[in-house]
Amino acid sequence: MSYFLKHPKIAAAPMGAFALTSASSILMGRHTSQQTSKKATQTASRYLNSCAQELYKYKIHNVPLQNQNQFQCRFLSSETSKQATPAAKEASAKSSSGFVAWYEIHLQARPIATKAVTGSILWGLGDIVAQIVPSMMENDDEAPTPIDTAQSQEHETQLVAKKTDFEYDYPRTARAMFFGFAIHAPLSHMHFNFLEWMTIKGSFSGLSIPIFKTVMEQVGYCMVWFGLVWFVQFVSASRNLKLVNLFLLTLSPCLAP
Amino acid sequence: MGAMQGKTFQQVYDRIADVIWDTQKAQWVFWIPVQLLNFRFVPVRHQLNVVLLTSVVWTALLSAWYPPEEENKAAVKKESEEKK
Repeated sequence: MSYFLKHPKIAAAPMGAFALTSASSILMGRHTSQQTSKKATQTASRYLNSCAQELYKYKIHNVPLQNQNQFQCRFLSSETSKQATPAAKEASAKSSSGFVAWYEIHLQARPIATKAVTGSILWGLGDIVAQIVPSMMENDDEAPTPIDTAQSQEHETQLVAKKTDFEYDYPRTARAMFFGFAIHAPLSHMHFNFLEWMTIKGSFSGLSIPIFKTVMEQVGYCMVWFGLVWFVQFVSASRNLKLVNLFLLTLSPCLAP
Repeated sequence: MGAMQGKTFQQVYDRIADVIWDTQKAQWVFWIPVQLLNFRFVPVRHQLNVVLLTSVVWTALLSAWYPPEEENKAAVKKESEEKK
């Protein structure tokens, strides 16, 4: 415990983590048993077709949507309807379940593509957050403490200077989104399925499943990786050894969940 | 990355050597509980989503702990001005 007190950084981390995971697991675990059969997929694609037809009518002939699940249909189009009918309003109250159902359909039909798109969006979001957070913190640190008017004025000009100093790096976000789309999501898809496959092969049960998976992910991959690093060190006695090491270290799976 | 920010190789190496162990410990403290809960309660097809969502928080934490240094910022600014 005293260790955590000495390292507030490390202590702060799990609190947010717990809250977030439990929230998202409640949200997602709810739908565990629903769409497992093939039948569900078929119904889903049929439903999507009818949705598309409705949307076509709606767009071309401006015919109001007749489908009973009209909100979900509308969700498929990027348009937001201006004249929301009472029914649509009512449905929007249940919009989260509509979204989850819609997402599940896609996840079932094209798991990797869906994950890639999700990955790209969330990696983009993560990068935006990462770029904005430091500048926000800076402004917090510089919170005005008016002692002297002249001083505070000077302070304000500094603040303005800081704010204009902040340059958003768009290519960086693009890179992050591309990484999330093309590399991270497909790899992770394989990773989670591989872990699942291992637990099935090893006939794990109960609590040993999450424990095994976590240890495997956090430590197992790491060990393999550093075994490789060691091997590279052993084999290549080149001058660029440090460079190779650095490269391997940066790519280390220990630091990337 | 560091080369693009106008640093020498040794500087980059020192910087990484400096922060990597603390980061690794923080990473274990943060991610092990997350993943335990994730693997326990979340179906396999949604496990990536939990990781992605949590990653947003994790990146925010990382960027708060290791804000870009002033010189790097200047370099980035210069770079973008050059592009203009």
